Amino acid sequence: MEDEQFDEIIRQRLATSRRPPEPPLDEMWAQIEPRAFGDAASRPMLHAHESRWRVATLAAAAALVIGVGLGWYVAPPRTVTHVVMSSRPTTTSGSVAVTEPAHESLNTPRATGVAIANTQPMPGSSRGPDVAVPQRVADPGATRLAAQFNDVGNGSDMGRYLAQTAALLASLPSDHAAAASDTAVATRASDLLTQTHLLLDSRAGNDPTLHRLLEDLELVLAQVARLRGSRNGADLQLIHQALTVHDVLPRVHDATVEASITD
Amino acid sequence: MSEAQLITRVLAGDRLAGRELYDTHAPRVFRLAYRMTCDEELARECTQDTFVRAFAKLASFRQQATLATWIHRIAVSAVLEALRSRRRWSARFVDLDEARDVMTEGVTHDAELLARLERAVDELPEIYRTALIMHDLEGYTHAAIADVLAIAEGTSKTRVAQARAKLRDTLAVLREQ
Repeated sequence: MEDEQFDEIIRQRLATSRRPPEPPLDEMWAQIEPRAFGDAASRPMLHAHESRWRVATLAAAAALVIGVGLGWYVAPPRTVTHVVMSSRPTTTSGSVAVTEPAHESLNTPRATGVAIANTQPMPGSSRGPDVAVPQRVADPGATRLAAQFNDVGNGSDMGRYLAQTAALLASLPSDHAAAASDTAVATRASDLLTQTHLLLDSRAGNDPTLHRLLEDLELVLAQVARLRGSRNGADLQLIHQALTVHDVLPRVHDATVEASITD
Repeated sequence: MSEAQLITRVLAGDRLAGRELYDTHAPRVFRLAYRMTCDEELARECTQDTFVRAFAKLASFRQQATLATWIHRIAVSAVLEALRSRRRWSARFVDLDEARDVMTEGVTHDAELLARLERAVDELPEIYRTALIMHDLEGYTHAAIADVLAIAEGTSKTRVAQARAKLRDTLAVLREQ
């Protein structure tokens, strides 16, 4: 039997075996209408929602302008700040080593950053006992940067972050030796890990579904970041396992679509 | 009434316009949800959830896609979320399912083949299964699937082809019969 014939037989069998019933339109509408439209009095919520966003956007823009203005005023002239990635493996108690972004400044002390302390299992985490995630410690610089993300960490920014993360995870080599020697992957994972922390602390992290996804991404990205130089072949296997078990990539895809809807 | 006019009226709180929008799109959303969940109750919940979300977010609809595409995006997202929740929950009850399988061993050969076919589809990875159901069972074009799933049209074709290939592999024994 040809492939096309077999495909057609499968299609026909499935089409007839799982024929959808007539949609109970009225019953469903009876549930939808009060939730979508509520009482007549609550109807202006849509407009309130719109105006809330308008106010929030204006506030964000104003905060950004003031922030930039203050930055120019406070910072000494010709100050150049740049970010250098450095690796600091954490070796205590066999926990996960995480690449930390180190911030260097020519004339000013450390400007912004997220400090990653020694790693411990997250309290209440559903992950296995042998898997640890980096514990975030807030520092003033990080808080400032997080505050900026609070204003911009939505819509297209979130979509961009998710797309970059999905691209990185989808391009992970299946061969451990290749993954361990690919410094670009680890560096990119460290960058994205930093963004993940900022997003977790931002308004975007308040959404429970997104928060769970960001926590899972935090774990996976931390594992990817420590792949560089790793000799343990099980590390890569653990990453692929975590991606599969937690449906990470499909959830990232959903969140990307969701971000595009919101956008 | 044009789609834009309908949206404007819904945003102004016109329930009749809301119902009109719902009547236009709900049957297809429900069909897709049912195909993907194989559960009438869950399909109903997903459809309701889809329209509640759609009405709540209608103000942010930018008309970069058609309204149908936008609603179907929300629907697919709602269905996949529901399926993942159910899968996590039902994983604890695998033993019960296995017991039921043993009890139904005496059913006809044809029914058994059909059950195996359905199981093979259910066990397809989510991305392949979604594309296969949308294309082969619900007749969406690859362009429409690409819009709804936010993927390239070529990716949609690849996913459907991969899904069929996986089914052929899984059901190779049936093919010989």
